[in-house]
Formats: sequence, structure tokens, C-alpha cells
Amino acid sequence: METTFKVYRFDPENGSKPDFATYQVDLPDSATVMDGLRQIRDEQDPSLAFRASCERGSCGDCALRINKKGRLGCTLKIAKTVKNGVVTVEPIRNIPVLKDLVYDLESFLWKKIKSVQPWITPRGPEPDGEYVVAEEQLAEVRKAMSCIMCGLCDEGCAVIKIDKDFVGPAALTKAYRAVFDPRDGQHDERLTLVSEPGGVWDCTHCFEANGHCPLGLEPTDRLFEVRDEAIRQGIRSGTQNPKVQRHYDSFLNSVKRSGWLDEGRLAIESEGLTNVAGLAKLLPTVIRAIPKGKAPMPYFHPKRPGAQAIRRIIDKAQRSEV
Amino acid sequence: MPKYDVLIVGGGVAGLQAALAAKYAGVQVALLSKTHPLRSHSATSSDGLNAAFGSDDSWQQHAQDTIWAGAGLCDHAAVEEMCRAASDDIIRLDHVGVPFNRNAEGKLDRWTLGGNTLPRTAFSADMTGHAVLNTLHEQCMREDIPSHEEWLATSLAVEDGCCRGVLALEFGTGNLEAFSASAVVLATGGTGRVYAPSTASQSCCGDGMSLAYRAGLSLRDMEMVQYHPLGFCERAAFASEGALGEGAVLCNTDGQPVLQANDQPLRDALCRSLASAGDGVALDFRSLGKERIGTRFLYLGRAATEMAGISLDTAPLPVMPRMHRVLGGIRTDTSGATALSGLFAAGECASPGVHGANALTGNALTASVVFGRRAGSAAAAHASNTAPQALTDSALQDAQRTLEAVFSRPTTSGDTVVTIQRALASTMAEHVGLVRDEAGLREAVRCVADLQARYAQVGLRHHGKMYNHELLSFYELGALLDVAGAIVAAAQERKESRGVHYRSDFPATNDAEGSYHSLVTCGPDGPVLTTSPVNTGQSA
Ligand SMILES: Cc1cc2nc3c(=O)[nH]c(=O)nc-3n(C[C@H](O)[C@H](O)[C@H](O)COP(=O)(O)OP(=O)(O)OC[C@H]3O[C@@H](n4cnc5c(N)ncnc54)[C@H](O)[C@@H]3O)c2cc1C
Ligand code: SF4
Ligand code: FES
Repeated sequence: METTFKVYRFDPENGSKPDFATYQVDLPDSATVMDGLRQIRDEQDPSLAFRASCERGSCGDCALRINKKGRLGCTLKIAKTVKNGVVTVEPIRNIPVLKDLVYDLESFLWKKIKSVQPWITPRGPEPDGEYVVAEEQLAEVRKAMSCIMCGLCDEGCAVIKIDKDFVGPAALTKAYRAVFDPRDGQHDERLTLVSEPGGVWDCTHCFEANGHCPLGLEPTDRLFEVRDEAIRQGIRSGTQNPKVQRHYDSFLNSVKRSGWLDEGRLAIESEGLTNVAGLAKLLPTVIRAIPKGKAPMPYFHPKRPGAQAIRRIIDKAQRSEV
Repeated sequence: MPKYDVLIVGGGVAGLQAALAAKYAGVQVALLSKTHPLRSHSATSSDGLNAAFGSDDSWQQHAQDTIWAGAGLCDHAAVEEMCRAASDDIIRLDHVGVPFNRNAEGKLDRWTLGGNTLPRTAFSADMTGHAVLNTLHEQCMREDIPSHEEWLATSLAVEDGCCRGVLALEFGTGNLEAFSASAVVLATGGTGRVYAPSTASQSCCGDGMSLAYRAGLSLRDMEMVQYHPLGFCERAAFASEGALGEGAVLCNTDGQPVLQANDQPLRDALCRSLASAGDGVALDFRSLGKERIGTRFLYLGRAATEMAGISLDTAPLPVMPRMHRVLGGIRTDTSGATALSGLFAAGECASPGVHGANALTGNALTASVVFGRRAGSAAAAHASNTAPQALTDSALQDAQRTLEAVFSRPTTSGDTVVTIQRALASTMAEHVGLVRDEAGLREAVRCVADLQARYAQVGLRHHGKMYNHELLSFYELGALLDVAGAIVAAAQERKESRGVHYRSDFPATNDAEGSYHSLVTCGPDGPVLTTSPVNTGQSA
């Protein structure tokens, strides 16, 4: 099969600007995109740089943007992705490029993985033999641990795009592995850590990570489960993140009172009633919203029909949590 | 110049075990690896780790099975060391978080894999190597062990008869650097890419074996090349042998089972029978059902769909034997020490003597775990007892001159690193494969020598410094040629069949003449072969 490869090229050594180069490859129908890149490097242009190690979808080294989608180059067949005879290959997004298709994972991924302290610390004295644990308890941990650290969920993440400090779905999937491992003794400490700014509360629920994971590990859902576990343990925000706690309380109190969300109240209470500087920051937004009729009046919030029933549901749920 | 007490070269399972052991011993230790540790070949290892657990098994039984599989070439003291230590090491892995599968009582579940007489392979679905590697990496992060990633060790720094560090090339910058260390542990993994096709990752180029070989050390039992029976037809991927333990059935084109029920033959026997069955052997998972396939074969289910276009619950997966690994390596004692003071080795690059002429399925990862730990401890002890010696500048200057000379070679010969590497891998597959004979081996000797000569002339087409893959491949090819020379020399000398080494011209085992370890050292005119007796005594 003859295919045109359009490959992102960038070489800081020769001072040129990033650009695409075009190559023709001829490979069997079963060939992967990695086979194409290798043929280019081996036979046409030895200066092309890309990473690959296992060549079987096991190690995550070859994550690339192929025809505008984050994919593993070593398992994706050319025939499956080719469009009008062309395969376009770029580095993944939101990440500094070092050369051609080689990018810098250090700050994008590895540091973030380490920041969630995803190592198991035994709780109490260790047993003589293995821990006796039900298979069901470990099955999901094992699945989360099958993550190959390809970073494709982070490349798809809507938050990382604008906030490089968000720890991201890959690191939080790693956190999940430790949080739900029954052998770990640092449960609450880790939950507090991932509830700090940049952690679980910075997710905007776009679900992009789920769609980007080539292993179907549902990193968005795992992030939510970590957050739910933090809430269950009464860790509603980290020590550096009181705004989250206030936001959470205000949201709840508002729905409890009127049956729906009082957005004006939420904005004020999230900043904190005594936080003059924080409240002052809201003013420009309020001023812009008033002429458009979009500034909600805090606290004078009509109750919705059935508000009593909603309140009873919340009370019941809170009693059952206790 | 970076300085450490102990430098571990290689970030696979063996290297990470060594790094942790050295750290626990209280010395300053660092890792240096040419891939990120999580991209190491260990990540692909699937089946599991062997150890005797429970009252029905014993380390002695594990040792007996290992020695039986090794066909007369296991060093008994090394086997004893591994089999005694394996259960504690695996329990330790469980305590730090490897999500081993559990049985109904919540204890370690076990598979019965090729050559084991009892179920003793602990596993984490079909991603055991990945789970162990990730868990050890977590612990290395916890211990804050410095890690130099994407650095290729290009030579050992040997001064006054001692290893004092390594010279290494950073891919990102193309710069050479000397790393000084009182002890070095080579954990550079295997050398599968000396064959094509093989199950090897890109990094498996025998680098550590070659570093040791060029420093004058012997490579032991290199003729013992193991094939894996369950390779995917087209790619490096393969199915875990756990599949057979779980009840998947190997069938021929007529759908008839190729193996007897409950038969768990050693890999060599299985490979030769599959090879003689010709094309059309397939692994049928359908009786397991979708759910079991989904939970037990996390990797294979996905890989079969993506790479072979086959859904395991609906159709059998075509398989064929693939070159898997060399069972021999750098000769070490049971602490990982080599004959060069200050140099240790563990994992797939090393030969402590446990595999002999054939390895039990599940013993390779076990050997990496046990001997990785032991090498790390021994290196730390060595470093603690050695006054630090600064490396002189000359080693770095020599390495720089060599690199400049390579860059200044002309590219007029028509050869490239790629053409030589391809010729080498196909020569090895054709003449030094599952079935060997004198004519083929002679041809292989000739080809390898010819390729060595071409390698000595080959120039590089790309002269950039950053991420110059051609330069990396140049170093790797040098290692592959060294290893190939050793494999071929040892295979030609062994005029019998034993374990994985099968010669059609000498199909029988000849205990009178064949009960020896081959040792290959680097001579001025190529590989030099000697032999050593097999140690069949127990450890002290
Ligand atoms: C596909 C597959 C499946 C397997 N399944 C099983 C199994 O189920 N059970 C079992 O017991 N065994 C199995 N094995 C064998 C076992 O996995 C390996 O023997 C073991 O993982 C090797 O570990 P290692 O640490 O020695 O090497 P590797 O994991 O290969 O690590 C080598 C490291 O060294 C680095 N390196 C290499 N050269 C250099 C250099 N020049 N400079 C710096 N760094 C360098 C690499 O980057 C890498 O980090 C399997 C092997 C394969 C190929
Ligand atoms: S969760 Fe999925 S997408 Fe994210 S790093 Fe892991 S394997 Fe890649
Ligand atoms: S090279 Fe390992 S996942 Fe592609």
C-alpha cells in the first residue's frame, strides 16, 4: 500500500521553524504507522526522531497525534487511519517538543505522577505471607495499573490545555491505583494531597480523558472515584484549597434551601464572606453581567416547586453517610 | 562529573531491584538507562514469577524442576539461591503493591506453566512484568533515587583492573559524560534484536553483554537461544503461556488440539512441534468465555484485536514460535559479581547459572527479581568497602575521540547501520535458529565476520547531535555483532543437542562431552571459546 506521510519536523539544532515534511512509503496492508515512520528513518531520512520501545502497545513510548487524534503509533494500522492516501503525524499537544516527534514528558507527566505519591506504604506491621485480599478488591487496582503512561488522556484534557499545573487524568489514574489498594497505609494523606489546588477539584468534567485513553481505562471516572472517596473520608478539600470546601458547602446549602443553585450566593460564598480581596475580584464580572440581565441576585432566590422534598432527600442522604 | 557509590545501568525489573537494594543498604545510588525505566522491555513480560508457596510445594521441588529443565547445565548453587529466595521476594513485591491475582481465599493465585510440575507461577493478569516494573518504579520514586534517563552506556571505565564507572551518551544532547562509581551494576536486559523476527523490544541489543565482553569478561552459555511458542504471526507481540494454564487450546488447521490435555511441555519442545506443524496453528480461547478473557488477559485481549484483528472470544489467534531470548549472558556468581572488581550484573544480561540449557517459564522474571536484589546489595557492600577513586579524564577523552572518528567516516561504502543490522538478524534467524547444523553455523560464522568488517567501515548519514537515532543504532549494532559472534562460536562448538540448542546433525545429547558451560571471550581475532565445568554441588 502506497501512502503519503506528512510528518512534523522541528530541529532546534539547525534553527529552522517547525514544518511538515512529506514522504512516500510503500508497505504491506498490515503495516502500522510506526512501520511507516521506521521505513522513513531507515531508508529515506535518518535525521527523523521519534520514540518507540515495545512495538506492541505495552509501554506507552510511541504516543503521537496521528491524523489529528492521539494514538499509539505501534498498534495503529495505516489502513485504519489513512485518509485520501495521507497519514499526518505530529507530536501530542500541550507539551514542549524537543525534536521532531520527541517531546518532553518530564514536566508534562513524570513530575506529576510523582507528585501524587503513588507508592504503597504498608499500613501497620506487614503480614508474614502475602496480604489476604479479595480478588474483587484488587481487580480494579490491577486494571488501573495496566495504564501504560502514554499521556494521551492528558493530551486530550481540556484543563491541561489552559492550566499546565493541573495534575491531570494520567497522574490521578495512578493515584487511584494507590487510593484503592487495600494494602496501602497512606490513604487519607494521599487523598488530602490530591485535593489540593491542581488536583481532583480542578477537573471540569469534560470527559475528554475517557475518550482519549487507548486502553479504555476511563481515567475521568477514576478521577471522580478518587474525589468521591475523599468526600467519603471527609476530606473535601486539601489544606491549601479552602475555596473548594466553601464552594461545596455553599452549593449544598443553596440546593437545600431553594431546591436549586443560587449562583450569586455560590460565587460570594466560594470566595468567602470575609475575603474582601476575593470578593473585589468578582466585581468586574458582576458589572459586565448587570446590563445583560445576567447578574443573579444572591440570597433572594425563589424556591422551586418540590424544594421541601429535595431537602428531605438531602437530609436523608446525609444521615445515611453518617 | 556525576559521582555515586553505586551506578545501576538499566531500568528494567533487575535494575530497579538492584537500585532499591543498594538504597536500602544506605549508599548513594543512581540509575542510568537508555529508555525511561517504564519503557523497559520488562514491561512486556507477561506470564509471571515462580516460587514455591504452600505446603504442597517446596523450594527443593522448584529447584528440581529448574535443574531438570536446564538439561544438565544449571549451576546448582545458583538454582538453590534463587528457589530459596523467590517466595520472600515475591511476598515483598506483594507488600509494596504488585496486584497479584488472588484465589478464592484471597491468597496468591498461581498458574502451572511450561515445565513446572506444580502451580507456582504468581501472576498479575497477563501483565506481570508491567505490574512489577511499575511497582518497583513507584518505590524508586518514593526513595528519591536519581535517574538519568535516555542515556546510553557506551563503555565501562576500567582503571587499575577495577571498574570505576561508565561512559555514557545522552541522546537529547549527543554529549558524552563520565559517571564515576565505586561499583557498577549492569542490568541492561537481553539481546533479542540479534534475530528478526523476535519478541524483543527495541532496547534489547545486548549492550551490557558487549560492555562486559569488551572489558575482557566471559559470556557464558550463549548458544542457548530460547524461542517463545506463542508469537503473533506478524509482530513482536505474543500470547502469555498462562493462556494454556487457563485452558486455551492450541489447535491445528483442522481445529484438532496439538497438545494432550494438561500437557505443559517446555518451550523448546513445544516450539519444535509447532514449527514442524507448519502454518496454521492457532490458540483458541473460546471455551474461556468473554468475561474470563477480559479479566485474565488484560493485554492480550486488546493486542489481539488491535494487532491481529481477532476477538479472542470469537476466533482462534494464529501463533508461531518466535525467537525470545538468549539464556546465557555475563558470567556472574550468585551475588551478581563478575570477574572484574567493582562490576556486577543481573537480569537478562547476566548468567548466574540458573537457566542452563533451558528455562522454566516464569523463572526469568524471578531471576531478575532475586539476582537484581542480590547484585544491588553486593554492589553496595563493595562500594562501602572501597575508597572512592576519581576517574581520570582520559577515559572520557578516549570515548570522545572514538565518537569523532565515527562521525568522520565516509558513507561511500553503500552500507548503512540499518543494512548491516538487517543482514545480521536474518543470518541469525536462518542459520542459528530453532534447528541448527554445521553447514549453517559455518555460514553464520562467515557472515558475522563479514558484517563485523563492514561495521568497522560504516559511516553515519546523519551528523546531528540531538536524538540522533542512527548514532544510537551504531552503538547498538556494535553490541549485537559482539553477541552474535559469541552465540555462533558457542553453537558451533556444541556438537550435540541439549535443551534449546538443537542440531539436526547431532540430534542426541552427549553427556560425556557436552556437560560443560561455554565461555566466550573477546580475542584479538574474534571470539575465543573455552569451557568450564558445571557446578552441581549445593551452596555452602
Ligand atoms: C515478551 C516477553 C515476555 C516475557 N514473559 C516472561 C514471563 O512471563 N515470566 C518470566 O519469568 N520472564 C518473562 N520474560 C523474560 C523477562 O521478562 C526478562 O528476562 C526480564 O524482564 C528482564 O529484565 P531486565 O531488567 O534484565 O531487562 P529489561 O527490562 O530489558 O531492562 C533493561 C534496561 O536496560 C536499559 N539499557 C539497555 N542497554 C543500555 C545501555 N547501553 N545503557 C543504558 N541503559 C541500557 C534499557 O533501557 C532498560 O531500561 C519475558 C520476556 C519477553 C521478551
Ligand atoms: S490512563 Fe490511558 S490514556 Fe492515560 S496515560 Fe494511562 S493508558 Fe494512557
Ligand atoms: S512502542 Fe510501546 S506502546 Fe508503542
